[in-house]
Amino acid sequence: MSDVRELLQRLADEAPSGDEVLRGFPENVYGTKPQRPRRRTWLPVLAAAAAGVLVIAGVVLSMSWSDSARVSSDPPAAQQLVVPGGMRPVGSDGVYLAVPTDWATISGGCPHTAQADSVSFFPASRGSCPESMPSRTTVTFSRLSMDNGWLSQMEPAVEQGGLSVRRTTWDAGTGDTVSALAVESADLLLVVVSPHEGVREQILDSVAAIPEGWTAVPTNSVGTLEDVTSRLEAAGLEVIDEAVPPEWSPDVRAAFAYFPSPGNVLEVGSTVTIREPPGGCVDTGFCPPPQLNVGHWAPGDAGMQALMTGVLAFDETSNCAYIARSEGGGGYDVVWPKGWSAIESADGPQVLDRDGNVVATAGQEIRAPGGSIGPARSSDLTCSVGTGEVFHVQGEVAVTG
Amino acid sequence: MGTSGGAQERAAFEEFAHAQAGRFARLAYVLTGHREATRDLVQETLVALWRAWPRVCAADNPGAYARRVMVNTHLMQVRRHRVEEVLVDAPEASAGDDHAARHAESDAMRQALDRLSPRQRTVLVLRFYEGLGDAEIASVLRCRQSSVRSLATRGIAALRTSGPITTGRST
Repeated sequence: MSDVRELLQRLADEAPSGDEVLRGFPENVYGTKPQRPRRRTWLPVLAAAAAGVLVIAGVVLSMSWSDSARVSSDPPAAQQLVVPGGMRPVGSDGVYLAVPTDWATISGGCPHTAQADSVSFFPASRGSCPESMPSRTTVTFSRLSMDNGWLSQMEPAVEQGGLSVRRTTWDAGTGDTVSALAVESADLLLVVVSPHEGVREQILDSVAAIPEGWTAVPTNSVGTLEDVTSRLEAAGLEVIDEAVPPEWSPDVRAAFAYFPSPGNVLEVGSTVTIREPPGGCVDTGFCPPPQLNVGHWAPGDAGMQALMTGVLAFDETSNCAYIARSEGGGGYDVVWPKGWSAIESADGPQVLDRDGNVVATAGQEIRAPGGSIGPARSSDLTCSVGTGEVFHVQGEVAVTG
Repeated sequence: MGTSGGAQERAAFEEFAHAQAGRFARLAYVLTGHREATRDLVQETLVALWRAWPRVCAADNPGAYARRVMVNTHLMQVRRHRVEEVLVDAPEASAGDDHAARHAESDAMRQALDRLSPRQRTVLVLRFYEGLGDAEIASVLRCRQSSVRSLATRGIAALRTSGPITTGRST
């Protein structure tokens, strides 16, 4: 066998035929959803609960959180929920409602301190925020099942607008009344602070009016790809992560962008694309920083003179700089000269000399003088890729390819 | 959504799928190395393409769009199946020593490819089977070109160590 091209070509020649891979097509594409191995068993329950919730008849309104720039790989936008004029739908994690269009959407912090009438998905607000700003309406909503301790404080259920609603109220201390409302059939907890009459009823009417079969894109959060995928699927959404670069390790906790974006109310089963944040991991700060080992050797010192050629690489897990052999596989842990460092750049991880000059970038072939000694003799390793050999760079590194 | 498309859309989609089926099968097979996984990957890709059908149609190069979807669907599947499944394709019946030798070589080749990380293998497939440049591969995978070069270098080195390739850098 000669080269990689021939190797792959020969493998391709053994591929099943087009007819074989299309067995069952097109019915299996139109009729079924792709298998989701990690789908939670309680999803249908959640979807059904969410489905039984809100409805409003009216016009289609745009959503304040749907501000992601679209790219060529985006799937088509899902159908949007129809709500009455003057209102817009908001939601997260499978629960949703409609609020007046001019209300602000608060995605974090303490909603009660909002400077305008607002709505937020903020289940942790209870007990951790100051009291409401006077003359403002704030509505906080969350999944009741995330904090069902509320139920023990609530009065027996009463029928309101076709919903079975439990509530409790207390004085906010600003002259406003705080109402906590639980709609168990919708897995919805609402906390409403408002000086205005009728707001609670307006929100509950919107909950009662939402048609079946809708859900909401969860609020964005830091987590692994597995975490965010699970959360989206738990909301009854299908996930495509076609735009997530494979460099993201499932173990790396990162903030991902969704399209459609958090807060959008979509049909159950709609597709959400997970995408790398626009600035990449460098901007989000979740990349492990490039690392390297430095020794005591400095230019002018006596050094070993063996020449080693290989490709500068950074370990996928530790981001530790090492040299992959150009021939024969494997590679070396490297101890670089005193004062050298590694940085992340737009071109990838780089090794810098003690003056800050770029020595080489990941993927470049380099030739370095120095010597190889066993790891047992090297006390300078702060990171290692476990190759079993350590090369001490003791001279000027040349980029050769 | 694509799934609510009319008869005309469905006909166009099915025509596209049939026209591309052979290419899909070959690409999926070099990515996965296993017949059953190949069928699954092609089907998952078709589901994704149907969902995005209007955008596929609007793409400058629907074939390239499909390739991107397949590659990323494959990598997503790999990530989800963190517990390795051992997929063994039953060897086809052989008629003599030549066949036996070919099968032995094929097995060695497949095992060497299976030992690569999914990303290394994908980069090698895109570079050497699909003939893409580093910039195109980086675009498909949404990663840096330097990462593509690094993955390719390490993948080739691993294949050399395993034995199925004997020549230079194969560029």
